[in-house]
Amino acid sequence: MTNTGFRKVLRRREFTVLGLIVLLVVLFSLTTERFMSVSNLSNLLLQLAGTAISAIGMTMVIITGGIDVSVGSTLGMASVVAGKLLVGGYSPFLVLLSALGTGLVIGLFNGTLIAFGNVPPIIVTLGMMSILRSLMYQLLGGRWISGIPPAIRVIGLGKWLGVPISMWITVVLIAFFTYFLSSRPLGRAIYAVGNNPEAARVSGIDLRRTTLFVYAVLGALAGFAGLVYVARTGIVQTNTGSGFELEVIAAVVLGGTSILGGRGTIIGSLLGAFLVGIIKNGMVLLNVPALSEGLVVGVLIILSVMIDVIRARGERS
Amino acid sequence: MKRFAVVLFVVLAVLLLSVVMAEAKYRIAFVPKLIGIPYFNAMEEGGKKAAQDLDVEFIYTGPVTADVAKQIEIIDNLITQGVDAIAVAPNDPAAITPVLKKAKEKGILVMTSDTDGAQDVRDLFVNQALQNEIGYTVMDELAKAMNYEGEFAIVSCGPTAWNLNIWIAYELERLAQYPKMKLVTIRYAEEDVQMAINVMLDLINAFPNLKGVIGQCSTSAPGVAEAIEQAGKSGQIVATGLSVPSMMAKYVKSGTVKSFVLWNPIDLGYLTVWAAKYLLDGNQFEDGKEYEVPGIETKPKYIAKDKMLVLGPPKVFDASNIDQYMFF
Repeated sequence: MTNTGFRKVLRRREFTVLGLIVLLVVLFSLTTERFMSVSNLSNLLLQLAGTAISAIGMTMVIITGGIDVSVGSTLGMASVVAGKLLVGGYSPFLVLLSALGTGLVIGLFNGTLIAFGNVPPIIVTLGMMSILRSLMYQLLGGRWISGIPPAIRVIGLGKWLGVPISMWITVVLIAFFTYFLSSRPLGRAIYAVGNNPEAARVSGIDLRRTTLFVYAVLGALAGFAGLVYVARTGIVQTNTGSGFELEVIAAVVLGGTSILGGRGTIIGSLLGAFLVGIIKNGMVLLNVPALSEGLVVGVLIILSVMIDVIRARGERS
Repeated sequence: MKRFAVVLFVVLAVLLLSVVMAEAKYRIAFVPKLIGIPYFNAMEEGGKKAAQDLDVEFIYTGPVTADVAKQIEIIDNLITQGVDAIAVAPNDPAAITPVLKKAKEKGILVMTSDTDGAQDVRDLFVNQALQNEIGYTVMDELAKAMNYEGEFAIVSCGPTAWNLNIWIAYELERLAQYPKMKLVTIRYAEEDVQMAINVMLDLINAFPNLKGVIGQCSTSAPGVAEAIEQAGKSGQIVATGLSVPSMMAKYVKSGTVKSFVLWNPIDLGYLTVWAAKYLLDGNQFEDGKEYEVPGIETKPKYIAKDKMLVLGPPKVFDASNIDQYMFF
């Protein structure tokens, strides 16, 4: 029993990623003196928080068989709203609500069109991405927001017990949503919708409500990531968050969530985010020429998925 | 009655004359890449000032996003209006050529300013600074701030951005003059402040002896400065680069940035209108000659082989002058 349980763990995609992470950590610790330093590790965590927070929502969306490419623009829009309010002197609590609210409204809008309008997710979110970018442009008029008051920057820069506060928040969110996905009815419904929508519908799951829910959660989380962004950089520019969607989707897919839906975990996505983050960090520490950095990251991504596929094949035979 | 007739005649004559005078005023248009951003607002301000000083009419119009098609449409409208000169900062150097050709055929003076394009059509390019001088100045400012010794890094933006790569090439050429300085790495952070912060934080960890850094574009320069301050390395590592005063002021005030480099967009706008008037008046620029332009702080120089008027050496911003330039 324990033996099969252990095998099950070994077989999981998350384990492959974890193994790769451990391998890289050992490699980088041996080849560079600076990798294991406190300042480097805490940097790594700071850099990953925003991606990991959004990846929670993205995991749920992809499990339902959907996708959201507007997540970078959502983060950007929430940053603009948060930045403007912060500079205007509003209370951090109100700013937090506004950032979450901005993301939530965007997510609800996406979700409504996808669930009730039957428009494919890639189309809805692609359109949304472009609409939000244009809105950001008009709100900012080309001028960047700077001069964010220091009080809020604790969220982005502060540390508790040596670990960045943004990472503590991430950990709490991950714990909550992991429990939610595995143990709450709505959480289980998300897997059911991705696995077999027809069967899910027959068994009494409200497909539309579930779909709306995942996009709304992703929107709100991206909004929160936007606030973390503002707190961390202290600057909001018109292209804030562009390209961020790819980072998030890469973390989720690398972490073992099937792009076809039905399978995946939030912990896996966190590991996926860590893997990419550690590779990028290590490339700089090893001073690998910048132009070949993308090459190494790309090869490692494909390699890690290939290992998984090969192992799965081996087990079947 | 007779007196009334005389008065009437004088009034009419004055009116007529003023109409003729107004007609004679040159109409000079400038079409930026897009309107509503601080940089081009500053150029507009310079153009307006020149129009006032030189008694010409200045038209400032452009697309709201950096859109090639819109820009062409706007130039087409200006041709219909029959302006005397059109200066443009093209969004696409090649796509702009046919419409500028059309303008030229209608007898309109055609210029580019800030960004070049349509080289075989345009009569003049008003250039903010020479590529090599920008590179040299950035390296000189970094060397000065680092006391001419130690390790430094370059954080650039898009790895394919042509102008950034040219500037880096000239920075490295200048580096030969500073034998005690060593470039440890060149990294790319796209046009994204957060990415520049991340890259710089990694670099601070990777190179414990780092003394300086160049932020190659307007997003990476404030990004690397912010990272230095977040890592508590202000005073140990200095940042410089190319960016706008409104973004850099904070870091200049805290001392993380001693100086940084750009040019004066107000003067660039002024020079554009001045040069248009100069050519419309029938003058020709002479190769290698430096021109005295009242109203701007530099002496622009003409380079005949490129039909290019260069505003002057790049401008260095530091604690002594940054407050005057906070609007862009």
